[in-house]
Amino acid sequence: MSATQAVPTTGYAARVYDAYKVYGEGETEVRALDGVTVGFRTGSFTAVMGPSGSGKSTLVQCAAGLDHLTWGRAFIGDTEITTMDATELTELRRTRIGFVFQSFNLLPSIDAEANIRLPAKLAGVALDEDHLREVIDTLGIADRLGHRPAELSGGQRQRVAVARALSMRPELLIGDEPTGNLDARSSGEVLDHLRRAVDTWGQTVVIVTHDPVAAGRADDVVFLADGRIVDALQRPGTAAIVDRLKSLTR
Amino acid sequence: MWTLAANNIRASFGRFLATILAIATGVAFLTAGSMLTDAISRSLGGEVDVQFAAVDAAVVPATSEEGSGGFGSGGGGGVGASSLPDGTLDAVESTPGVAAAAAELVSVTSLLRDGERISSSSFGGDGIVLRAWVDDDALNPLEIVEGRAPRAPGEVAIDRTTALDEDLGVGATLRMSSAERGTSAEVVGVTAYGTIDRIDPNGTVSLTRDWAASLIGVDPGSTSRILIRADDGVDGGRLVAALRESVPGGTEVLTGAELREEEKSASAGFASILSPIVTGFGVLSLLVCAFVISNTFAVVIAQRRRELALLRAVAATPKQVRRALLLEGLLVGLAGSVAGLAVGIGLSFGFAAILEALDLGLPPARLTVDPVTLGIGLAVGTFVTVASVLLPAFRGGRTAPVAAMREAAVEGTQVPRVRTIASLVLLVGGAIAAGVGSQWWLLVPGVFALALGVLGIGPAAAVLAARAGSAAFRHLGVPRRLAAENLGRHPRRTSSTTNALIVGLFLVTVVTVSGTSVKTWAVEEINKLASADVTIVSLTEVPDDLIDQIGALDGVEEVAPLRSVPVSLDGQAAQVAAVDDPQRLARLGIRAAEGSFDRIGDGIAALVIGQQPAVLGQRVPVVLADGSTRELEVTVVLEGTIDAAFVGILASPETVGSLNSETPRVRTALVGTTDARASAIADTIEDLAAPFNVFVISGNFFGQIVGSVFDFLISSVNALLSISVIVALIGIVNTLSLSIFERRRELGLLRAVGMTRREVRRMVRTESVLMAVQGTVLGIGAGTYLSWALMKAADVGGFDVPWARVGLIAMVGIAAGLLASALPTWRVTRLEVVEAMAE
Repeated sequence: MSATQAVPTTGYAARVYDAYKVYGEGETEVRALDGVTVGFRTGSFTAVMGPSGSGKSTLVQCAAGLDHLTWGRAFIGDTEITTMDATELTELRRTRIGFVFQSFNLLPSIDAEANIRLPAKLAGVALDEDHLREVIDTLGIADRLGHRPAELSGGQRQRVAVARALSMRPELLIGDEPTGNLDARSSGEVLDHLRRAVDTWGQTVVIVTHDPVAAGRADDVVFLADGRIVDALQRPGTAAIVDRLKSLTR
Repeated sequence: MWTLAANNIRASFGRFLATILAIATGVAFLTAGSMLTDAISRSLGGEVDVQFAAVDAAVVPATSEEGSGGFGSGGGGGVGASSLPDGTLDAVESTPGVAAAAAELVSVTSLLRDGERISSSSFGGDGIVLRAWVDDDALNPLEIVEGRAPRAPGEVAIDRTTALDEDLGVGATLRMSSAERGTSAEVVGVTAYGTIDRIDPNGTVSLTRDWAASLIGVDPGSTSRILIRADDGVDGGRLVAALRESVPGGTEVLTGAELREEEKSASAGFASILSPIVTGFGVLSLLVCAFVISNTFAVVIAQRRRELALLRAVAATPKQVRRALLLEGLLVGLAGSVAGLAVGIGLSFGFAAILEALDLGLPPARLTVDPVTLGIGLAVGTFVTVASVLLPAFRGGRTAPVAAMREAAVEGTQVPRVRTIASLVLLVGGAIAAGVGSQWWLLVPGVFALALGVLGIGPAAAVLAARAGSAAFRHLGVPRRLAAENLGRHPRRTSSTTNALIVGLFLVTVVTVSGTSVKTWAVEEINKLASADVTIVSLTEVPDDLIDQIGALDGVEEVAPLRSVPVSLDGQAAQVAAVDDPQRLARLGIRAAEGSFDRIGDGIAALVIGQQPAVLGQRVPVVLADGSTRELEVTVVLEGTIDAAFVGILASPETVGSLNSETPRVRTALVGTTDARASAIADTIEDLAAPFNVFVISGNFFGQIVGSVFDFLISSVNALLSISVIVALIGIVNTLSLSIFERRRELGLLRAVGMTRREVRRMVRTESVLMAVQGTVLGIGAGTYLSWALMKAADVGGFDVPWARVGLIAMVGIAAGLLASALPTWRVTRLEVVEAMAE
């Protein structure tokens, strides 16, 4: 399977319909997602925000095939992932979705380059070496490839993670608080790279964040509270985001 | 995959080290066991091949089945084999193609010093084997290494070990027990058997044939086996055929190869005991290892949970993760097995050295490193490791990718419901089946069910123990109460740890408790059987002189000498003794169970014929000295006492006279004593009998032997089993360490809010001890119950629980818990508060 970007006919890189995620039962029931329908447009940068417990992480996990919905349907591009099993989901994820997590992103026992090449290696797929070189150079980590994660700074680690996420030219790039553990400067750098991925390479990026500054770089911002979508803003400024967030937690 | 696996192993090396040690132990013992037994049997067999190489044929007494076997010196031709019919030797020597024939004559005597018997035996007992010297060098398995062979009466040659141990070189004088109160002899030579010092484990003294025959009290022509060498150019098979034509009835002709096989199987005796013990221990070690390996891997995988989740999220399918983990297991298994092989080889050399130092008369075990043995050790060790790793690897493969995103809840905080219910059913069902069933088809499944149930109920037990402990410790301080509660937090993990301990302690308890009960019962039963207080036996003759002396002793109530003649029964020597006073015999424990002595007629009375119980009406073919066969009917079956087993076959004086023309001689005498003085008198009789070629056996002799054999067995099995407990310790250390790692934030919090280092240590130590207690209680409880069930099924009367020993086992279990806590406790105190609370 070649790692070219497929443009879904529907124009959405990922979407969920009527999504519910319920834990426990009866009195101890928790509804992490309580009937959410949302789509992430191809070639857009979306930020998903909300107070803790709002279900933002859950939404993105289910949309990206990291977890199953209790009820509802989920799609990656044109492919329905609602009933896929663990192996099918993995195979789909590793070639079509890139992940950047908040803190634990890299396998500590192998070096940066090996980490970047890991999904391709396990999928048994050849990478587009030119694209990879471009990504690595753009991210500015070319000289750190032979180092283990322990030898890299927080910002460098995140950038290696971004490189890995982009290596397979995925349709979708998911970030779960990708700048959560970084200082302001590194944070800005990572966000720049994500923005560039959208603008230069036409990726779709979805990040979960509670940082209004990070969300301010996005094209769309979706707000969740108590497992439901309560608002969506387009190209909001940081101030508007802050206001909206404040109203959610009142 | 390979690099990942290799890197992971390097990263968790400390954890895996314990696993590798465990595997290495099991494989080492397996390997050492095989190597040693191979070496010993090969060496012994090798000696036979060399020393008996010249034998082209042999003539032995006829047997109705293959191999009349038996232990003892040098196999088929040794003590206990009966004489060949008269004329056999002449027949052999006159057969064409026979270059030389060696007529063996073997008996038992004792060496005396200052009137006391000296013992140079490796296995206890004070007899030394007496052999007639074989003149033909080629046929003689022994060779002279110092001095010369005996040529006249009064000259002897002794084996090198006896010569060294007893300081009896060429020119020394010694005394041997005999009918004339001891006989003196001069040592003219020292013998060896190939590369080892003795052919008989008890030592060998060689005499000229004529003198040997007169000391033993047989005709000079008497022989138990004839070894034959063919003329040059004569084919072995042809010779055997020719011999078969010429020898009298009641004999059998063996080829040289057959003779050598008989010799080898007789001397393999010791090695065949060693093998199962050491191998069995290797197997047991590996079994316990399996638990520990599984536990260690589960721990390692749990520690690497975030990494596995990340792998699952971005790159690896469940199958790929599983394969990677199995690969790690494979590599660890290989490493451990290779280490085990190396240690095993070292162990074999160590054992061999010990065996030589013990001077058991075994040849220097020529140890060779056999690729097959190595291959087996490697395969078994690796297989056990991979099998143990299967379950944790499967679980690891199913790690949810979501766990990569946040510090998700760690697995296994629930008591698995299905497993608990199933285990409870198995436990109760198994207990009932085992307890009620005396039939094996009920007992064996019951035992398995019980075992599975005990192991499966672990998680539930952990939670229960946690609640109980928490309540019990309420007033013993916060650390202890927390420790109890912690036990119930990860029930699966706690139980997999304690299971390893349970297995070890369970086995130790079963062996100890059952063993002791059986021993008590066996000794009691045997002591019930013995009725004559002292029995005197001799292969040659019990002198009248001695009998009179014993009869005159204070405290001896009566003496019954039994005069008998030798016959051959199924290739073995047997005595038929005359019954002249049934009443006296009855008082000394020889009574008729079926039939009666009054109506013995021309039949025989016996308890056993050969290895089987005697049956009334059974017709027994015996071969007489002239080679003819006579059928005797069993007209009396004796009551089952030990004395009855000693006396062999009884018949009327007339019948005895008709079997053999020589005068019947006293070969057995039964002595009855007044109860009070029994053992003191036995000692006196032994002193009196020392210079004579007789053996004195006290009534409770067997009881004592059986008792000590049991004690020895129980102790050695326990010693071996305790190593499995040590291996189980490793499991506890692992689990505790992981638990501390996972709880580091919590521990940091505890320290921050005021728990002192000492209190934290106390908490960890208490956890460890509690886990050990859980394991100990379940293991000992199940073991005791099983022992009771076994005893009940075997119907051996009293159930004797050695409480002191069981208490000791319990203490060992708890001590194990304390010991296991040492490393984790040390680790925990190194946690600084701030570090612990940071991510």
